[in-house]
Amino acid sequence: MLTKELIRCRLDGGQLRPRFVDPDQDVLQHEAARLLAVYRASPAPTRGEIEDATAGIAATSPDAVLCRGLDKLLADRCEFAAPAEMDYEARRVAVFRAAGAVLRGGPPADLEAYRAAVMATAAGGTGGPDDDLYADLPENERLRHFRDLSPRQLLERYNVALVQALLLRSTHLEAVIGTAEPSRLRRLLKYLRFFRLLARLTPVAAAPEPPAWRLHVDGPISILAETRRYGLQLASFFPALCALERWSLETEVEWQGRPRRLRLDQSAGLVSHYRHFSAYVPEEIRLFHRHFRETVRDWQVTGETPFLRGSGQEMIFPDLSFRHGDGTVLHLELFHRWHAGPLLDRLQWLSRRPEEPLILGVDQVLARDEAVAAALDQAACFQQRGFLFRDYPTVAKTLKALERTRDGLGSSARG
Amino acid sequence: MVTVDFQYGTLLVHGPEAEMAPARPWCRPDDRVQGWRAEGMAYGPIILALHGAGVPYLDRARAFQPLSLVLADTREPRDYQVAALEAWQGQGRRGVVVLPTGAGKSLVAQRAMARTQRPTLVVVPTLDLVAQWARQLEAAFGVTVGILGGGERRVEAITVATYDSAVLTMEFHGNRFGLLVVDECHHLPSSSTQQLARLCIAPFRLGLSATPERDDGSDRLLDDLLGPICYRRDIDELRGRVLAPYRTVRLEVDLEADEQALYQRHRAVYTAFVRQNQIRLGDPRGWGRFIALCARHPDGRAALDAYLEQRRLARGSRAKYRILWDLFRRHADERLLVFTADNATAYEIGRRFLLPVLTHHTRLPERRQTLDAFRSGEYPILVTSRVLNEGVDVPEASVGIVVSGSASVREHVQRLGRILRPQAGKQAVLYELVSAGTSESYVSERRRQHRAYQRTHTLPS
Repeated sequence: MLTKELIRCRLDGGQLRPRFVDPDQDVLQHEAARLLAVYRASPAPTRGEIEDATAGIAATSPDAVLCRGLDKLLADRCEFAAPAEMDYEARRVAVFRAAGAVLRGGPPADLEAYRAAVMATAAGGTGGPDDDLYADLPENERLRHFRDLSPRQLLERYNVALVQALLLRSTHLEAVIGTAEPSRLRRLLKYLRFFRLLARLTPVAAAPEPPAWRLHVDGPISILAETRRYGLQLASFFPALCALERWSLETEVEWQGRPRRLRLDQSAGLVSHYRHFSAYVPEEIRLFHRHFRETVRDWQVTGETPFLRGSGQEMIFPDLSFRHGDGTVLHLELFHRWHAGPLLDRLQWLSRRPEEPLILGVDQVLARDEAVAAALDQAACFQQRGFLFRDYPTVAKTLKALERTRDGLGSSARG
Repeated sequence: MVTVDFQYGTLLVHGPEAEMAPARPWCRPDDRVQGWRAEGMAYGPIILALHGAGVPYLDRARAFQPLSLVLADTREPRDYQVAALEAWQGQGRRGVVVLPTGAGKSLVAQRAMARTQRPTLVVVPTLDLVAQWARQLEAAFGVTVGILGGGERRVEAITVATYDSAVLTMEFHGNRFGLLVVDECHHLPSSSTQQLARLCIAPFRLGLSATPERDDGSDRLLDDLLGPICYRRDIDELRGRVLAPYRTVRLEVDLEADEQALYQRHRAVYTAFVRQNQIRLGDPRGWGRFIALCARHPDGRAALDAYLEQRRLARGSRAKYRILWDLFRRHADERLLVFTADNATAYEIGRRFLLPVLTHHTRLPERRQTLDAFRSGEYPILVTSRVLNEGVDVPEASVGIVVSGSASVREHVQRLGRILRPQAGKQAVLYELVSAGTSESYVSERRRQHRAYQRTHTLPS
């Protein structure tokens, strides 16, 4: 993440304009490549060597702040290890014990005589008197792992990081997103949940195709006090937002002691580094699909799973949808071991909304949680519509829950 | 029926309109969840209000039960410790106890825990204090103590956490404790740190500090976060009784001619840059502006280098090192703590005099070994930048030497406190080395503005 002094932006009529770079510019790609070469050097450099080398590049750069910003992003991709050639800690213990003995005995007036006496006493250890006692400080740590990327990717990453650094200083964000695919909206809201953010979600009434949604994103406590506590989470969420094909963002950022407006949309050409997982189908789901198709006659797994409106502004994204030959459509939502809170919410919601076409699968490990076990025991809806699974649901248990629920709902679930 | 749930450090309150009335003063409507939301720390008042009004409620927020803690330490607390406990209990088991370093604040906390019998989170500013508190609490109650911080994430009925870890994890663990103890609680009001108290539902709260006042005046927030000050004793009130008798000595040293010339040259570059760019360093945002401008301005790099160099010269002059060596020899049979303002000076002293140095870079095992060796006397001198400023118990230390420091009154009082733990026959002395004719003189004057320093001795250098 870029720190405050590395943010390049200007004020234009009270509005913040990040100074994005053009990843296609040769001169910038060259500068990015020079920095990358420092981190890719063999043998692996120390932290101090990297800092010296990149400071030299920044000193000759036409834009030192940009150069140091790129360097910061590279430094964030590093893991360092302490030097292993000597046990410095043991060496220090030997020297300090010797120093303690000389000091307690009444040290000589001359400092050099004291040093010689200490090193003579400690000579049983390794190394001579000229060793740096503190050679294992962080500046001497060696690069152990560097998550490499191309010069272009670094420049693209920098543009996103500029926005993220500004969002660190914001209390909330307003976004408008447009996507025809529920899977993309689902992915976005998964990121929201992952970063423990909350959103007010409203459809944009007069939006052209594809359907558009307005999101007001902040955190649980935001409603009680304006806080920048969620700045880091908002910044972390942003790459998920700018990965959509149509998006816009508006927020206020604390800049130079005053709130300033930041507006951006897809025309900024930002490239998200968050991977798009929506096209990926996990192996166990493919196996489930195949087994279901081969063994069940009356039901089919449908290709697309819509979302349901939950309580408040919550949206429910089931994991699978099924259509019966008579037109009944039911959705399955799975709750894994880390989903205790959402499961308790869902049980309450379903008990208030028995007409909803939803069945629930709950991981056996989650069901052993004391609070969850009590809630499942008391929830009549779960007796009819729920089942337990280990790792992934079986076709047989899913089918039983589908049939029970279809019988219970009667004609109301028929599409 | 009103339901109260815990969500990420907040309380979600649902219930029929008519039954919500008692809880409403602490809640705001939240249309994101079609309910009401309150800060975690409103848990106690909300439950009390619902209970008092006879409204049926389901408390799903609280994830703790009463304990059966047995205090193994049967030492009689001192009269002022008993008075502090009574005052805290009298305020509904909320409030701040102000006692000088060495007066036994942790014993007050242990007694408070024994009286309250609830899972307790103790929050402290440094990893050294985490280790010290954990050791003391395990000995006091004979239980395994959980730790949050320094790579450990183990929550037990009694848990000790660093401020940083508590801020990060309170969203998840904020409903697991009935008592919150905040050591060195003058740190709590800063904007990010106060969140740990706001997100925690613990109805019982105890703050501990020797110096609760903050330069920015935000210490008044402690009333809200922990409760008002319930008991106070200052350093000079306990001196010679439960604290070691002490004196403070200020030693002014001159830079040598070449150092003086270099100092003036760099200082001129730095101050010219500040003047030319109309930076007001007295302004709260002045320093931030200077740093930001150094990154952008063509002359900024040179100005920053000049600033750092003049500061380095004043903090670590050759004369200071000579005096250090004299003091080490003068106090050869005592335990000395050497304080610096920065790591670079601390390591320079460590290399020059072959001494152990503790900074935030020191790994935990070495930290423990070094402190143990200092306590046992194997290492008679210990050099540190800031990590020992607060709380860590080294009663054997009787001499403190401040080679350099900030203008903070609190930091200076805390450093004095390190050498005041009582021991038989102990006479503590705190030396302060100041480079004459540099900005250090002004910095020194500012940090000495506390009643603990009203009787200063000056020794010939």
